[in-house]
Amino acid sequence: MEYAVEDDSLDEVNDPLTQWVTFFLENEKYGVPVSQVMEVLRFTEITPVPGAPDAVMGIINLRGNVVTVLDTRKKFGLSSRVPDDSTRIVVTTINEHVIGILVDNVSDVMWLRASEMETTPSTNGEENAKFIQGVASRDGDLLILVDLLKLFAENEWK
Amino acid sequence: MIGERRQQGLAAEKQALDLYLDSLYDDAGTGEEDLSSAVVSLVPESAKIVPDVSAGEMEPLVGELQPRLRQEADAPSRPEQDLLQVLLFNLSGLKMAISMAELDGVVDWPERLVSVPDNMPLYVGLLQESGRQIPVIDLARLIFPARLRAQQKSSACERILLIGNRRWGLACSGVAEVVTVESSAVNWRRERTTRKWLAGTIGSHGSALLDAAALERLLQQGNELVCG
Repeated sequence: MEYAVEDDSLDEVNDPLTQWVTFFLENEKYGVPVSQVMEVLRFTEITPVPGAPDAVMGIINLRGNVVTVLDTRKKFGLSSRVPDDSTRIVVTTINEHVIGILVDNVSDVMWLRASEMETTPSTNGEENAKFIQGVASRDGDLLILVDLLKLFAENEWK
Repeated sequence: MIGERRQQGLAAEKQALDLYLDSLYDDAGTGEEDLSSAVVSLVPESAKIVPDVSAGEMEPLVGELQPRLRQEADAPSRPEQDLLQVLLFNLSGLKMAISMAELDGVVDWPERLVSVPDNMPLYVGLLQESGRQIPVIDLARLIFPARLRAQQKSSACERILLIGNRRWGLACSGVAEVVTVESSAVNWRRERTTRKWLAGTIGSHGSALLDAAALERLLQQGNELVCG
């Protein structure tokens, strides 16, 4: 875990700090808000659900609760990858629904100032539909910030 | 046998490219030009500069020219006497041109572009340049209609043209040279219902002239960018 709080004197109101869980998919680093992450699981067997939307891999049993797992690679337009020891399921909570997202591996937790986040220029013409809410540059690397609410289509969590 | 087939394939590919360029000419129109719809830089004879453009020199060259060209663009327009300075570049075998007044820089293809999902197919990735994140567009995918794209020989992108105050990057195969042409030598397109990114064609150089400002507007709209 890496915490990068550099200057506590910055105005917390004007430039608030948020915490992000970061993960990798196909060599790119992504982040989702810590507040929406319940836990991170090692890869476990996922039971397919007939008739489920394309991006739904299936369900897992998490201590007696059924959790839907999404194929994040498919949502992001990436080719599929065979799960390995580093594959993780990030269990998130969106609108009171618990959803797991499959990622290549989980990296760390980062603190980000609002001023560090940049919106990416729109290149899909549908601003409301964009699930990438911005990027943040840190040490020459770019963190891509994901808006989970927009990532999940309603028929995927219900 | 294989050699013959290959030659036939190459001939067909060349024919397709020629046909496409011919269609650009047809579309460009002739006769009286309406310069109000075209984006041009109006450079007087005294500002005529024809530098030898080589790979490592592109960035400083553009940076040096840009302020003067921007200033000249505000000068009163005298189309019949004015000169246009353009950079010729290569796009998978097709010769293209862009006005120097609209060009903000040329950079080498980076080791890697950051791939951001949820974008239109034209989008290649994010270029990190001088602390800015610049979306790079696959210009060949835009320029070549889908029916020709399959026949088109893909060539590696080596350079990125920066436009719109370095807000957008255009992937291209390589850059050639900066040339000065008379505005009257350009077949300006008057009405653009399709291919709004095409300002016209330069017959003397066999190239299509890109309208970077119009292209930027389309990109900002997230337009699907009609290719046909």
